[in-house]
Amino acid sequence: MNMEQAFQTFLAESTELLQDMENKLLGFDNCDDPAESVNSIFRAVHTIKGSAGLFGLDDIVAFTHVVESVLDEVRSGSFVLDEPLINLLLQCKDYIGKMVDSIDGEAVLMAPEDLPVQAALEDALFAYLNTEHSTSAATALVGIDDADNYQSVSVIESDSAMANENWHISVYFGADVLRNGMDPLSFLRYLATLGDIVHIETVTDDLPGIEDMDAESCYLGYEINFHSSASKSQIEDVFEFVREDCQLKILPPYAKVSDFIEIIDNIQNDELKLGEILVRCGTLTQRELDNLLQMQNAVKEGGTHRLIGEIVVEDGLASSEVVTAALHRQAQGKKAKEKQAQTVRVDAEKLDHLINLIGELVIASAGIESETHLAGIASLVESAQTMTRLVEEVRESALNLRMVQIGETFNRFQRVVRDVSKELGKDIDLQIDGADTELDKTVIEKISDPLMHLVRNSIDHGIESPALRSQRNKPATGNVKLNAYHESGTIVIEVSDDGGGLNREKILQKARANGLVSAEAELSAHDINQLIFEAGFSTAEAVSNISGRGVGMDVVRRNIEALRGTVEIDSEYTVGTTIRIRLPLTLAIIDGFMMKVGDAFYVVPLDIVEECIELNANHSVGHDGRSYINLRGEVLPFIRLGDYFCQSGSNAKRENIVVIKYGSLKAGFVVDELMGEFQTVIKPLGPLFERVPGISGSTILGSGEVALILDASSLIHLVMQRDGKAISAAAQQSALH
Amino acid sequence: MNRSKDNASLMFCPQGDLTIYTAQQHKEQLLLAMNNQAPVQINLAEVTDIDTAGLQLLILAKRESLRRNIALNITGHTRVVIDVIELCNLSGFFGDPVFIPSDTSDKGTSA
Repeated sequence: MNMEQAFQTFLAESTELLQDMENKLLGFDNCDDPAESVNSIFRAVHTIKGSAGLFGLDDIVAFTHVVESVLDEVRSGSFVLDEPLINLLLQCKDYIGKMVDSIDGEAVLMAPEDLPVQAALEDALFAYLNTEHSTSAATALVGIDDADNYQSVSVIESDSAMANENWHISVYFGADVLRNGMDPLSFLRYLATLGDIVHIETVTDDLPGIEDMDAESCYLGYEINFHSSASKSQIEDVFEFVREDCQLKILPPYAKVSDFIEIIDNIQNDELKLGEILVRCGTLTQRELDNLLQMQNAVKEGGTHRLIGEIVVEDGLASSEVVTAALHRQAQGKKAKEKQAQTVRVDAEKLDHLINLIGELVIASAGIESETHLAGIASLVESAQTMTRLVEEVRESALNLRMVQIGETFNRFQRVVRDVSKELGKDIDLQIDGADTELDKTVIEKISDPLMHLVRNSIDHGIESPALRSQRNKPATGNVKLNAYHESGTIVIEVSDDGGGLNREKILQKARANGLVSAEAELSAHDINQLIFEAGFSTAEAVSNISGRGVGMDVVRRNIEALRGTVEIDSEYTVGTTIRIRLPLTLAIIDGFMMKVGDAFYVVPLDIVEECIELNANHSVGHDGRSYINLRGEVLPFIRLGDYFCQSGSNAKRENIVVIKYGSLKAGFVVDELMGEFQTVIKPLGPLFERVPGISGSTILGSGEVALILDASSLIHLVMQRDGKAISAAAQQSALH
Repeated sequence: MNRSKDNASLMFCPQGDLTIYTAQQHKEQLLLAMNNQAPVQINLAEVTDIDTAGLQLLILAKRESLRRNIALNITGHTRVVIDVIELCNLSGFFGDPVFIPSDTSDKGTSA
């Protein structure tokens, strides 16, 4: 694995980790195992930090380090992950994402206006770190052990780092320094030119009593908290002239526990006192010191127990083998941990191309099959059939490649709900069902905007203010639900809320005022509900920055219709609203059912075909204008496709009814001939025919003829309208069972 | 600035450089002054230069005074002395009131 590949892995991995972090944060209140959630969030940040370190992205390391420190405190139980902290961490997650996005070559190039954001976030994080109180050392130790347990990061650093972003310099001068003509003070002055001495402690413990003291010997030592962008070697060079004659230890920012233990061990001094000096320098916090002393004891008792990380840290720089090994281990650890399915990232364009080719292949193979039937050569028919079967399988798996679970799209709304509801001062829960329902990727991409709009609508208009909710005896926390499921060849996506529902009176008033509906028109509840999808319709008194401008819902409807889908709305005033989007599973190839009227071919999606029955004399009551039959006690309205498409002279001896079910509605199409199952590659209609009601597309048959793909939803609605409300109500009634 | 509250207090007034070159002889004077169990006053007004060795002497004096429970006043800090004490963050340790000379060239590093 070379560095470039590794870098790409880092980018992809960061995105995933951040997404995971966001999900965990958002789901934190409801999760079964909060400790594991915190661990998982910590790991995400920690892994990003580790990987960023390998690529020398110091800015990311510095920022993630602070986040990580706070999370470490949470993990060790110093404070709980409460609402404000979750919000803060979400902002940090966004910021890290931004940093990763703005990696340019080897550095992070943040826009200048982002820097105050970072500073503000860091301040907020530090506030957590500084108000901490020391916890029992035992839990802290468990935290550290945890860090050792997961292999994925142990290669890079196995012991926890300190939250200090400054260098720490510990220098003890030898007795002869002064006699050799050197003045330690001048080194300190020189050091100050390289950066900022944040805090310095003069250690005078070695100074003997006045009688024993040799005025020409040096007894002083310094512990320095030093803020600088200088490199380690630059800092070392400051003390170049006394290198032989002093004890010098320079710890980089975010040094490891083990390094501090080493300092404390090396310097013959009262351990506790030196620890306190480090605390005073601001290098360590009190709690870090407590941990450290515990660790030190553990190390002593454990004899030769050394931390792997130390070796790497002591080497200073990880060599490229280590990088590879680290990434490898990371990958392994992840696999074991998250049972992540092995995936290959493929360019979406390549996939689209493949699907197109397979579409052509399906058409070509249909052509071959019909030719072989005509030729009548048995062996040829057999091979053609084998090929058709294989093509079918290839098509199936190719389409599956594009199937994506809708869960990811749904999860994005967690954040939206959280942010928007906070903005509006409402308390809203998002419930997600059917996250594993699969849907064509292209459909998912196009549905995400309309969904966003609906969810925002639910939050803004749907869920009432807390005061109104309590007045209506509802729980204070509003509930928005996203649900997805498959139903007869379509996927249904529901956005529901337990909010105020639609006020039909108000809608009707407004619609009459706007001239959308004539004053005397009587509208059913369903029709009134549908009014909100009309352009320019809004009943909101106030236009907020979230919604209320009345441009939303008709855009939603048009977007969904462009996907050959439908949208309907169920609502009860003061109880809640459910908006149901029905979409075809895929946009490319469907299993169709072919029918023939006269010499024209029609195709409907196979999944919506309920049954086929013969239209016999008993049924033929439609000629006197009533186009419905009694289907085992149900009213089944039907439409003669030949009549609808104005075909003449299709007087077949026998007619068949194809019973179609779309959502809750059923209708029959009367055709001359049933052709059976047919793999249909959907070809879009030209712009001229796009708006023809009843047709959603076309397809090319093996023979080269064109078949029209029927738009079942618009045809069914047509039937309903034609037959009036009585039947539609009856049909709905019967469909309810 | 001269708090002559006690006439019996012993004065130690190093002059010129308080550095490695003169440290040994200053130390002997200091030892003499400290050995009397009487309050000691160190006036640094005449100090033109101070280095680590000189600083060590002041630290020594302060520590010794604490150990023997003798009052110790260090006065007359000159700019060079203040700079060194601030550089080493020892003003708290000495705890003497420091008169800041008017030429505030502001060379003191952060404490």
